[in-house]
Amino acid sequence: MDQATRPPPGAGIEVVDRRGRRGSSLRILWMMPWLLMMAVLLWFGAQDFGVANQGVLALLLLAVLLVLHVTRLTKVCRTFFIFTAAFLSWRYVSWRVADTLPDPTSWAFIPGVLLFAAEIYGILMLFLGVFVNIRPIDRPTAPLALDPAELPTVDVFVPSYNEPEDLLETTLIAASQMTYPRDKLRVYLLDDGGTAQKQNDRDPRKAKEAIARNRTLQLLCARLGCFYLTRERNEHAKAGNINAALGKTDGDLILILDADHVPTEDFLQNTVGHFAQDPKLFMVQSPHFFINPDPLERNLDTFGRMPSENEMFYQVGQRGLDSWNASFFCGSAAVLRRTYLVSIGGIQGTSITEDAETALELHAKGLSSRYVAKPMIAGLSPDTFASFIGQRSRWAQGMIQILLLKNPLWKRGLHLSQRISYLSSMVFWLFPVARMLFLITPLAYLFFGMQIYRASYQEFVAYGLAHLAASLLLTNFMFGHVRWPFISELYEIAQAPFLVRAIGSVLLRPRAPTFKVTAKAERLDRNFVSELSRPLVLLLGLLAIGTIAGVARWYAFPLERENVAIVLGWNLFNLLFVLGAIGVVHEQKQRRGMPRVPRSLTAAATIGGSLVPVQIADLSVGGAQLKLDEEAEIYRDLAHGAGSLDVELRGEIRTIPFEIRHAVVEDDVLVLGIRFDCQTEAQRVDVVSLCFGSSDAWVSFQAARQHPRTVIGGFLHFANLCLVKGTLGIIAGLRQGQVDAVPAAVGHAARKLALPQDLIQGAKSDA
Amino acid sequence: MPERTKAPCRARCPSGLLVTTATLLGMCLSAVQAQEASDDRPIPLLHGDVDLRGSMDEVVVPVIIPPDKAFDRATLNLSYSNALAVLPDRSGLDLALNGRPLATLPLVGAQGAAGASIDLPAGILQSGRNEFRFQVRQAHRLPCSRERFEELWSKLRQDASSLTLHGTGERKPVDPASITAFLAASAFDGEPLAIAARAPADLTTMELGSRVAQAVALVRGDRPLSVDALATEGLDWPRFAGRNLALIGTMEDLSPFLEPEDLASLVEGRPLIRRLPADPDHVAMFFVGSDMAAAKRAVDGFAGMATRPLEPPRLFEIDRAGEFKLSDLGFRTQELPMGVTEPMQLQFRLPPSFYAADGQRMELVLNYAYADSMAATAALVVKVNGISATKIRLDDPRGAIVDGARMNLTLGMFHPGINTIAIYPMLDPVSEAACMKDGPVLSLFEDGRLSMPEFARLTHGGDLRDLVDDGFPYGQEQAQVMVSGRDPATIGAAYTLLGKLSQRHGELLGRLEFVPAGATPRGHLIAVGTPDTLPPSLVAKLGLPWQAGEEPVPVAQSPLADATATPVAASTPDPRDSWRSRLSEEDGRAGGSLLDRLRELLISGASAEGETAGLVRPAAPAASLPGSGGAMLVEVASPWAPERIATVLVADRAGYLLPGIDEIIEEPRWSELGGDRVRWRARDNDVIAERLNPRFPLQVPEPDPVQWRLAALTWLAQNRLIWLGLMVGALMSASLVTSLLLRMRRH
Repeated sequence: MDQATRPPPGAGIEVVDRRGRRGSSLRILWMMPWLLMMAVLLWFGAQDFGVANQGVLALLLLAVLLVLHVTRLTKVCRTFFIFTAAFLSWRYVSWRVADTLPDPTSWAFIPGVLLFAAEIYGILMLFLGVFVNIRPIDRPTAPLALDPAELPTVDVFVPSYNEPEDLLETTLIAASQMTYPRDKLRVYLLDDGGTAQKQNDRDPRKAKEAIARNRTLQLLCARLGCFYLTRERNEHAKAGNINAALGKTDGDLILILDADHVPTEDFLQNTVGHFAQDPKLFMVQSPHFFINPDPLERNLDTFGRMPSENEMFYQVGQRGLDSWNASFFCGSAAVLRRTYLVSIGGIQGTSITEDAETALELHAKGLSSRYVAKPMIAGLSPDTFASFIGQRSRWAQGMIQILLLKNPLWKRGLHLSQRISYLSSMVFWLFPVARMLFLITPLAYLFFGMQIYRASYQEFVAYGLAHLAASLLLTNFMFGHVRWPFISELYEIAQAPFLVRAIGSVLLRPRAPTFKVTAKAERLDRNFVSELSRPLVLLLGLLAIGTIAGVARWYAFPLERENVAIVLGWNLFNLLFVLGAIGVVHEQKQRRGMPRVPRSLTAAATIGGSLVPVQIADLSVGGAQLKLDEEAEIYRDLAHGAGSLDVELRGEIRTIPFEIRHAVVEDDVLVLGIRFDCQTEAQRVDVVSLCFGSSDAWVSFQAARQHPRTVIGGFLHFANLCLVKGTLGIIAGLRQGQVDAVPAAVGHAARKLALPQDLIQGAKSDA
Repeated sequence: MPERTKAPCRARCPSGLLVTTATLLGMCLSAVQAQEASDDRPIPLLHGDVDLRGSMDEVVVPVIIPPDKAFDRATLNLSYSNALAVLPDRSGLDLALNGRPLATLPLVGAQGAAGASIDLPAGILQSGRNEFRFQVRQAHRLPCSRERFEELWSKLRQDASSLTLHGTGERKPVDPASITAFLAASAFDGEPLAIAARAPADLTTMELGSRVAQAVALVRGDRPLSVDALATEGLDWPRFAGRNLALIGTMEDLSPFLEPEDLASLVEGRPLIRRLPADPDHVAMFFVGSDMAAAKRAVDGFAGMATRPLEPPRLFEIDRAGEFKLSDLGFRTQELPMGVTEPMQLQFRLPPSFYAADGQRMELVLNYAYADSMAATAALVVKVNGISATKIRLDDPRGAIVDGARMNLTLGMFHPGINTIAIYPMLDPVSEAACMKDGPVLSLFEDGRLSMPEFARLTHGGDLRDLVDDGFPYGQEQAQVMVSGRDPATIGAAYTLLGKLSQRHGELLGRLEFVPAGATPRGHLIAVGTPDTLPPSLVAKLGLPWQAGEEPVPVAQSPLADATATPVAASTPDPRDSWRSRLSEEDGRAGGSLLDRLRELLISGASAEGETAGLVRPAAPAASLPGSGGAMLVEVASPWAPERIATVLVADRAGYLLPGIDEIIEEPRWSELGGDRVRWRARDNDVIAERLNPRFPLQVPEPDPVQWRLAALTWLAQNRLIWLGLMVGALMSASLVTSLLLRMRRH
């Protein structure tokens, strides 16, 4: 038995380190001074010293934050920076609780309390975020054992439900090509689309499709040297699929990959070594890296220029969670130790986010997880806003299910830091409720004059604005390189109207939601405004009327102008957000199922019999764009011929044939669009390796767009996005309304998932 | 100077009328000059012009007729003017005396100052206190609006307003029983009292003299009393003319002023009061005995008779946390017609131990109703001790009955002693028709309430407000008086100060002990003198603003000043000096610390800083320009005893002490003093209150965790730099320890 797999506890055995508990007690004792200090700080910060003092304190601390930020001294005093910013927020919330709630006997009390609750939620999330991310860790690579015999065996599970063959082929090839001893690596396709149940569906067409899928994928696996596994019945969706495979396989470690998650060659090299270092390690998770824009990025045209949405979670959040031993399973791109997984009965199925739930159970057994922040799989984001919402609805519902059914606060076996970390990940998904309250509550004042926030102008400046400024500085400091200012808000507001109902339904019936597969690799043949735009348009109209009401109030009630100015400004900000959200639902066409990703790679190409150096500018499994900077005019004549690309892969020069689809000269550089024309299995493998083999390529790609913006610069960028894209979205919507055209070109998933009812109740189990 | 405050007048006024008393405005000083009735000389009625504002306003002018006056009728001559904006047809000035209507005078501003002569019916005017009530009703010529209501004013002019008593010219004798009523007469307003002794600087004499000064000041109510101390040596009766006189000493000391028949009554221990031979309008009071002990008995007898002529209504004292109805505070439901601009007031007293800062809030809940005739700009503006705190909008076009309009007033705006919450009606009519409606448009009900939170109790010194409100702590606790100068001017200034303190305290300061200049007092201390005569350890704490060797400037002196005070050299003031002074003040303000300036910036917006009273200006650096010499009243911590106050009246030269304190105790200036010092500058003859030092505790907090917490928080709120340092220090410590702990994580 190798080092990585000892000692395997039996199923159902509690794996809790008692020495660790003694250590915890000692640590708590050691932490008493810290606890005392924090208690004093919090108590002190909660005291009211008057608005003038608060104003001076706010100015002082904001100046300190700015100086630290500008001079980059934050590197040496990160904790102080975070504490200082969070302290201003603490001052705000203390004041807010003590002094600003409306009179309980007035009608304003109801919206006032709702707004207060939303604010408390926001500040709670801020503090939870601070806790989790106060000092994220960078894990060094754990080296593999030098002797291959000591390496654990690895089973790669690729669960599939309805993904197309070409997508699966790419993933399976890449999985097979991972650098690892061949005899210790097995790749399994876990097909839930070709189960016996599916093959015997009452609908003959569906049965026929299932049978065809089963046969096709079996052939594919046989061709690629992979194993095809399916089961009798589609029970418990993805979790059931994986658990079924657990009983048919025996690898020490299990790498789980979504069907569209193509691993790099070094995936196992960078992850498996950790299991030898820590016998209690149950999982190593890696980031999900997407090579296509999500709907917001595509519709707002920010892909490649702005950090992607999930980078905040995978580049900072998971590292923070890892620092508290609370990084959790994200469903894919993770290696799990079989023995521990089996010990809890496999992947959990109480919620529809089975991954996080499984990690929670394993952490509760005293086991540990690790997170490697290097992107080592390339996946696909949902292509339509409807798919995106469907995916997020599942996540939101699943996490709230866990919160309700397996609340980490009360879950036995977790450390306090793990409880807080899990709580942070779960409570986050209540954001739609808070966002909607932030959008709507100002209207109570603008329409009805309800004073929902009792504060003077001076108090609002000294406490409220200071808190806002500190929060902006803090989030920009902690996440600035992976999330530009106000983009989180835009994402959240775009999702809020849809997710709020989904959350409501799960709160009412926690066990009702069922797993749904997120559609990937869809194509959109033309631009259109999503049907999901309706709630946002309604919201926009409401806020616009609120703005008019605010202007009217400005003139009708001159003595209220200070209040009106604040609330109107707030409402205008909301209007801007919703306008941006309408820009998000203005779907832009998407022609490629598999996107090309920018790449800067030197290679040689044989064109017209001549070997010339080329630069690969972008790349996909289908083709690439090549740039030739010599004798452009000569090669232009060969534009429609064929050629081959010589690239170095796995230490040797490999040749991939291609067809030239088009050629243009740009700035004296000949740009060729080529399509790979693979004739052999080996060439297909080479293409996949070329496209997806190198994690360094993903690291470079990510790094190129990870550059922070200042708060002001971020705001200008955000405002510009919202105004331009939102206006275009409204114009497009108006035109679309005139034509009354149904967006027939929308992919199947978009049409299905566009139905709000579908989101609320969850589709009947696809299994 | 009227001796009463606003409250008693309010209590007698009809509901719904705004009353502005002469005392509060500080402009109405009824001065009935003593005169020979037989020659029918007019008696000035007012000490200054009196303004009446808004659509309706009222002022009560008290006049005290001395008991020795014999008269059978009187004539009131009134000179007044009003704004051109006042519409005569719908305006008028109603007069009443002692509650009986006298006349209604027209308001015709276009004709300039108007005059009226009114014969007062027999018997309506009486000896002692009389009250003239002047009430205006004013309408605007143009369509009404709030701004136009503020353009409505009428002015009672001092120059030609008078009261003439007609009688036989006969004087009733002044005896010991009527002496206090005699001394209280308005006729003596503005006149000093002279206290003469053979050795005025003797400690016993000074103690007796101070009691006499306090007693006379007390019977004069709130009207200031200047006291001259005189040495009898070389003086005779004609030199005493023009003021009432107290003579203190043994029979041997004062034998030149005593007649043989006087000796008999003095030996029998009877007090002696005699009209001045050269001035029968004034009296001499002899506090004389065979020895100083007998003289002291005479003084005690006189002091025992001294009481305030009219006890002001006792203000409600909020001495604990709790909820109080406005009616508990003496507030009665008020109904205001359109156009009233004067505020409704809530007055109450906070205990001397009150110690709270902006971090705590008092909740004021107002119940009110307003008519549908208001424009959207109508509001009630709430001011606390003259500082804008908040406003309530009256902007429902249908009118409204509002129960429970809540507002938070930061406790930092309040202070120990008398506090005033003024509610200014900004009644903006929605139309001309709204102004034509009769009846009230706003009612503020007495069932509103005020919630006081638990506040820290920690008595502090170093705030003149405590002193000016009730003479704290000299009426309550044992104290010493140190008059360091031997000259009569210094002694007179001490008498004047003590007289004022007894007025504010409401009774004689009975726990004073006079000590010599070299003593080291262990209790609270009142010190009067010049820097070169006061103890150096005390002078070192004063932060004196004067340079040595400044040229003195001429000061208005009483006729006897040249004989009793340090001679003052004449000098010609440079007109640039006033500009230099002003500029130095501005520089001082602009030159404050960054924090102070930021604070000012914030406060100017918030208008919610409780520590600055109207007259208090930011601390200016000690003026070192020529002409900045003068006198200063300052409260510092006693250098000799912990938790004790030293109240020091100091001047750069002795000759400035008396004129300085005379200016400082003028109303309404005295009542509005704040900070830890008030400075009178001789050259500019102006008075500036300021704070250089923070207040200092006079006790330790009560042994109660809540009190310790409140006191500590209040102290921190008032010591911003320390508070900021603690905040930042706590942040740094917590983040440092957290950072260390984070590095120790093993995962």
